[in-house]
Amino acid sequence: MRIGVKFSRLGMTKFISHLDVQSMFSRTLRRTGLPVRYSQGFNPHIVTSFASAMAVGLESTGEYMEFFTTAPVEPEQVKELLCRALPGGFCVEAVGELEEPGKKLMALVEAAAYEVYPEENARELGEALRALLAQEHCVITKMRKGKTREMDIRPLILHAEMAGDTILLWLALSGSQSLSPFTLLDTLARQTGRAFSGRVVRKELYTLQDGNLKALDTLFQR
Amino acid sequence: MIDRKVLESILPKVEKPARYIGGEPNMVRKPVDVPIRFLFAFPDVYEVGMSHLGTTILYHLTNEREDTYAERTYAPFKDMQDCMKEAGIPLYSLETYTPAAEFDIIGFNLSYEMCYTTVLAMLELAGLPKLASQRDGLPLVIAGGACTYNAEPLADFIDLFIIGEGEEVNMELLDLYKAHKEKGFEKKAFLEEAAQIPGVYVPSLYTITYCADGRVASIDGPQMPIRKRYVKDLDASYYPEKFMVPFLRPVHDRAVLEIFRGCTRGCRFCQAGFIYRPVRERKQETLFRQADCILKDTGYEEISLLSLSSGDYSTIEELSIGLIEKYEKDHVSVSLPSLRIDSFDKEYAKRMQGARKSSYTFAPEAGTQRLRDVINKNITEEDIMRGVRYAFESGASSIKLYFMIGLPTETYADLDGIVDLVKKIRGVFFSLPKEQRSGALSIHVSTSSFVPKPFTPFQWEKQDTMDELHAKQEYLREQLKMRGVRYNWHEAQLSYLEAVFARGDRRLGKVLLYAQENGAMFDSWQDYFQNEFWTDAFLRAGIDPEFYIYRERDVDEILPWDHIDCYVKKSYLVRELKRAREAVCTPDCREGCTGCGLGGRCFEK
Repeated sequence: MRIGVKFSRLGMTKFISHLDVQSMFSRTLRRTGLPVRYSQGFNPHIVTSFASAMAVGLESTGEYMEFFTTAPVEPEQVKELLCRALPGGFCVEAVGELEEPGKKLMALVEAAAYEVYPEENARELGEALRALLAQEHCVITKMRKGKTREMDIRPLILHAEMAGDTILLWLALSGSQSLSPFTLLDTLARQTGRAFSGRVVRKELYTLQDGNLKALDTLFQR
Repeated sequence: MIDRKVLESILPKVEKPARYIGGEPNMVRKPVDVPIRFLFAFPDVYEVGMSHLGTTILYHLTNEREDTYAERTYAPFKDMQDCMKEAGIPLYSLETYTPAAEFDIIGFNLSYEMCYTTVLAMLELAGLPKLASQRDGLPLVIAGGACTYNAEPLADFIDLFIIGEGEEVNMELLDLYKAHKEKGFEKKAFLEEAAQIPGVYVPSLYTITYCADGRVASIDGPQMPIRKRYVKDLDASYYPEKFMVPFLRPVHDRAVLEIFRGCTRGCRFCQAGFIYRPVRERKQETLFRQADCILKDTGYEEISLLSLSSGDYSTIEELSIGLIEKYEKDHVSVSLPSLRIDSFDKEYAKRMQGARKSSYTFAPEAGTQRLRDVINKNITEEDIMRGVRYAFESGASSIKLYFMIGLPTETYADLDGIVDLVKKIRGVFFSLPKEQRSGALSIHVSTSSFVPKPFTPFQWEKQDTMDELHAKQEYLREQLKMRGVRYNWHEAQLSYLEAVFARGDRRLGKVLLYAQENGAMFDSWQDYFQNEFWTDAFLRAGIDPEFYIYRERDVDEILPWDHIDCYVKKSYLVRELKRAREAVCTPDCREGCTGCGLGGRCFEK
């Protein structure tokens, strides 16, 4: 069976790198005793796939990973076992069966939703955001592997709004086009003269179905 | 508690922030209002400290006590230390983020001499006075680990040392501490009573006098000598069933089974082989049971059998093959690290390399049979070639070789021996038919500089001078210029300092203090080691480091560690030194007791 897990990671666990989260999950799955599928070859390991890498510093209540089992399992049972085995800070939101064969979650992700809680300058950030949204383009330069690259971030902002002091963002997140919330916040913060500080929480990951954004857990079959 | 918000604001600025968060699976959580709060402080970064088995065992054991909550802290790396100082965050525990200064007892592990400045840096980061004499009350600062067999250089900073294995003596110390705390803790009274516990060394209660020429004249104190403590029955002794699984890849990222303590080989340069005697094995049934618990509770993919020479475990074949077969279906691999060269082609070792190894590591330590006999590393050239041939035949094309330079009686003929071995190994590779060779040959030769250690037969020997060591390294560099051969060497300057502190006395405390004040810490990390900090420290303290390492000491000299007893008799070490100088080997004591002083306490069952 192909199993999808929606999970959250909050608090200090946001400082764990993505690779370390992956190995943590592998060991957690081994602790559950579930009939997880291993890879072939000289060094068999549990095959897991994550929908999107989590940047260090990003909290989330809407992350996804998938794995395979060699025997049928009950999603409810998987949820319970995982919940008990996961360390503090990590939580299972939902477990479901995924279509097999089917495209990997990583290949299906198109967008992500974020909630941002600025520690200071919420009003100025909101203004900078409104100004940016009013434009058609916003080109920034990014450093990657020692080379500077130019990127137009405006089309990557699918939707944004303010809810009081909280900033809500829907940003493109796919293999070809991605905008990190931290990049956007750093750009906005330049208007305030101070680096951005505050909590950034990813709320959900979306795929595109018939032109509409659908949360990944709508793909869970059971 | 430290200010979490402030901590969260500095973590994004540092390398590997997961080092500083705690919360790992199987971390111990307890109410904080217990009579004793203990802090295990490891003077190196998280990844190194979390791989240290001794601290792990003691952490879980101490937490079995209802009256104690033991937590952990590791040395924040330099970038984090700078951020912490700027933000006003002191050294804190990973379990509850409690400042170190609020604990009852802080316990450092001393695994290697170059961690001493990091110990001082951690005390500073905790906001505590470094000098023991300036700390009137709590917390108590204690230390354990291999270096306590001569921890004199730290005598001015540490209140109390635990010599030997901590499982029993630590509990006795905590019982005494609780009793004193209940009636009103007074440091002097406590230390005086603690100094009576066998295995406990309170440096402030010992007086050392010196001769005019600088050698030790006398040592006196409450227990003469302080006898190390060791656990007699390892099967009955505590071993954790739940191990913490770090969030950040540690240096050793696997489940660990300690199969026995001590060593019977008697290699003359090796301190561990002498201080961990007598040899005590865990029964096979115990090990199988422990392996099961640990793997279920951690989910580790590999289990490693640990000891000083795992191939020597009495039923190693049955144990390792048994574990391999039991856990094959769970995809758990079993490993035996640091096997002696003469064990590689044994059946159990072959089964272990189930996953094809691409590289094999051997440690001949010396290039000629004569010198190997001097150091009592009982390995023949035939053993080496057999191991190498097996490695190549099983599909590996990369060999790592470890040697020491600067060994007693060494001449350039012995260095030529290293070169000859390398040439012979190349010969073996190229004598294999082309189809059997996989990939290009790569031989990686690594040399470290010999450091004489206390409680070894070589504790009276002098170290090669820096010039001699550099010349030898240069010579090998030239001679080893061959295709497929790489040579690297351990920084001689570090070995020099290690040697000074390994056999130093408490007059070196000033040097440590000045060096740390200059900014020395993480000295074993070659990127952070700065020799100027040390040369300046020695100058200011008015101490000549060469006194400690370039003298050949007389066997009648009083050594700064003579008040410690590890049960191996000094007369035995003297005898071994004589045999070394005559290149006479001493066989493995499993073949027959060699009379080291343990008096048949080995294999007590």
